[in-house]
Amino acid sequence: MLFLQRAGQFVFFFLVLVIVTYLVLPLISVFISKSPTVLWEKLNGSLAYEALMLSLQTTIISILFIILFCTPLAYCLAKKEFIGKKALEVGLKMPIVAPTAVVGVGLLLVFGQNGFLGGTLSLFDVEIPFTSIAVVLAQIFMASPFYINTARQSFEAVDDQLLAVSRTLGVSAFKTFWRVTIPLALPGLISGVALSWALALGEFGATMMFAGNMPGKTQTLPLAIFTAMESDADVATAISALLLSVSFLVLLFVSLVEKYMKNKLAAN
Amino acid sequence: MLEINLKKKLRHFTVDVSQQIDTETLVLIGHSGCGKSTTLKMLAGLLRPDEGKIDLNGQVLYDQKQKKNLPPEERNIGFVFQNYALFPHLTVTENVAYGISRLPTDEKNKRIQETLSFLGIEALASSKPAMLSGGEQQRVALARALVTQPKLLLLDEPLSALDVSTRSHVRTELKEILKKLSIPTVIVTHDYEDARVLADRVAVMDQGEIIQSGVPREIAQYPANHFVAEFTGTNLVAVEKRQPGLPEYVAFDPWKAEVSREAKNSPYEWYGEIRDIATLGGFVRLHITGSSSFYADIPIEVYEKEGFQHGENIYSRVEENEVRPISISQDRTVRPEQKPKKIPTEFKAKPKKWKWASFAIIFVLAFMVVTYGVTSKSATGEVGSQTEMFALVAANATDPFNKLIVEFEQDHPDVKAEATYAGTQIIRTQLEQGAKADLFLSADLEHIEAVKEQGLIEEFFPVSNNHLVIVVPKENKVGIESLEDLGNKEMKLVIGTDTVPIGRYTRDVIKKATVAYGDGFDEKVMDNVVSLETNVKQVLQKVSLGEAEAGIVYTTDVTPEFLKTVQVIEIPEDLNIVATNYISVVTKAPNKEFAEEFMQMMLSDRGQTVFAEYNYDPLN
Repeated sequence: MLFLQRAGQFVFFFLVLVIVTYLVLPLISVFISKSPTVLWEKLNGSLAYEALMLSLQTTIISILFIILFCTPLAYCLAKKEFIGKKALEVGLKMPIVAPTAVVGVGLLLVFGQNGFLGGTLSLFDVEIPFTSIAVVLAQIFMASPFYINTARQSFEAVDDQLLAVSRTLGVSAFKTFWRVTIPLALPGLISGVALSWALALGEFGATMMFAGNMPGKTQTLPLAIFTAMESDADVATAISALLLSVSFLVLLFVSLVEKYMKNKLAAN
Repeated sequence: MLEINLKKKLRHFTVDVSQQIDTETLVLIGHSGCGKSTTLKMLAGLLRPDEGKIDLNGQVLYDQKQKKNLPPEERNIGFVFQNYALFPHLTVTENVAYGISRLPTDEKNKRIQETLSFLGIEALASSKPAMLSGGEQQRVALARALVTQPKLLLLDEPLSALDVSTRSHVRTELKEILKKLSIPTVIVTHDYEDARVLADRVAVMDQGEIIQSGVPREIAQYPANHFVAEFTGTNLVAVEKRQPGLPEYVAFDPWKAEVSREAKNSPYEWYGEIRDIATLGGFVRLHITGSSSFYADIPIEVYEKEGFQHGENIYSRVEENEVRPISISQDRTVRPEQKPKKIPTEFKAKPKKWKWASFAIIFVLAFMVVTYGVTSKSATGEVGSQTEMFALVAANATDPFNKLIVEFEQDHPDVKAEATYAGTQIIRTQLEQGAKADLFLSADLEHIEAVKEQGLIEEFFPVSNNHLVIVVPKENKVGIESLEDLGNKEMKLVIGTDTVPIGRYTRDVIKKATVAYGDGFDEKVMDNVVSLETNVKQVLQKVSLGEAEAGIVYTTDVTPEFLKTVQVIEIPEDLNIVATNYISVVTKAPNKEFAEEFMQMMLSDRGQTVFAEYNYDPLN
């Protein structure tokens, strides 16, 4: 029995160790496979700078749109009861499981020249495919479900009694939202922003399909990696390292902000 | 003065309350779920009644007939929740200031100071709620409500969030605070002690209705029915001896009862079993049940002298001048006995070592299953001792190569050939990383020469030729008819990126065309480009979906399937290029002989026929 017990403990920690190594090693290897100077040289004179700038610009716009449109939705899902809520919840999770190439085709079917809205849009002389707008649309589509989920959870965590008491103190529902709900949900909202921002940065399949691959216009970092893969694997590695660093910085920055906010909420 | 008359249907009963409250403290008491909190919420405007009216100092807050329902923020009613609901992100001062933020700063600060000192919490001003004790939180919550100068104050279970040791002391404090205020107050509680201390008037509530209301003393002495008696701790007992002139029911205090083993033939005497004995300071409380159930408090000396036992049957009696005759009002439908909660059969945690041991066993079993699957599979793989061949093939040759595999396997039933199809750069990397391949088919001279230099292959041969064509959507809205149009008209053009062979060939063609059509042609064409694809299928796909208005691809890529949606425009031969695929046998091929044979077949007429079937150009 003692032997089996020991063996079981060993197996347990072995499994944990294996999966942690497996999940971490490929990402680290991007940084350590080549010397930093080589990576740095490869980055210069490649498409990386343009792609980085485009990625940052498009993701910032995407995030702003996600915050603007998805926050009210997340609030409704958290605090309101309505018919078809369950169905809506499932529907909103679909983008998470849909293959990105399918999403790209779907977006083309809606916004493309022959799509549902393509005709209407072309009346206003708006063309979306092959433009930076398409990049933003693809990113919003892929990243918003994660924001909605986290935002919804943080709204749910705000005690209804606090909202009720605010009303009895003479503060309207709208002002209560800004003075109580938002401050209390903010740490969660911020981590939602971080998660969806990192996902938007990494968005690849739908962008490739829907926006095309044009340096300076629609070629984001992941597309630059894919393009570089076809010629010089070292450049691809270098850009991958860049993308991972940017995503890491975004996550780090946001988690620091979140920690600061939480500390402020707790007793000081 | 508050006048209410409210009805609201809940799931099991209807709340129906009519009350008039002056500047006094009314305590609503009842079991949880009796509708008392619902009443409070309807008053505050947090819940909408079904019908009725609320009138506060002459102002109508709610009237179903007038269709008037003021929202909570316009009612000016202070509400203190059970757990006080302080805003955790604000300090005490900010919490108190919350409801009066619109006042001018001077007025605001004055009111805050007044309220904080009224409640004696100035010292807490800059603390956060999480640092406060329950009693302190209650004062802050009160301060926050009072600073808005409400016309009515509502307290929902104000003491139940406190632990027993602080409760009685906070209760007294609350009593003093309420005494100093002169506004109508409604308190909800399930604890009679709260009601006794805090109330000017008590209203006992059951199933949505107020059964009895009055000053606490009156209710305790003359409970209207068993339900009320149960709350106040008064004995309400049916008189056993049916003599004329005796009331049917009497109420008496437990400490007025006397007990003995013998009957004394008093008119107010009951016989019953001792169910419980509790020592409470100087006296002992006996719970006696016979035809009625009641409590008798007897001095501890008597208890010790008589030595009453659990389960013993004794007589209890009360002096005639100590009983209060009660004409009982009908108890409402007897409360359904609270169903005993199913206590889960005690979960006996297995000894911890079992947990780890079972873990090990499961792991071993899983390992056996997995390895069994693998070994049995490899066993079937060896049946008939087939030779497995493997080729790395540039993606453009997918279809002809598949056909060639089928033909080769027909000739050699004992050979199983497989291939990986990908961009030349990718299969080259795979070969360089040591993939155990027999054949290598490159779409690009540069790549295969680099591989040869590394000694991975010995020699290579051209195996098929290909050329470029322009594809446009079937409707061809832009009206492209020739290569020259790519520079003359405006369109959305999609080509390969210059890092892949298709992209390089496309640029070669454009370069040649620039010589033919004049300077600036290449710039005009590149201005039309909207996307640089990493793979020829992506170019074709985008034209086929109608998003791009033109694209440049290999002629072999335009399969009959694609011809349904696109049309082909040939590029003049003198401006076109020859894209050649090269085949080679890998130096370290595991099945070198078969590989040689396969390659020869591809180069033979038979192989070339297959390539021709898929639109490839003849080799010479």
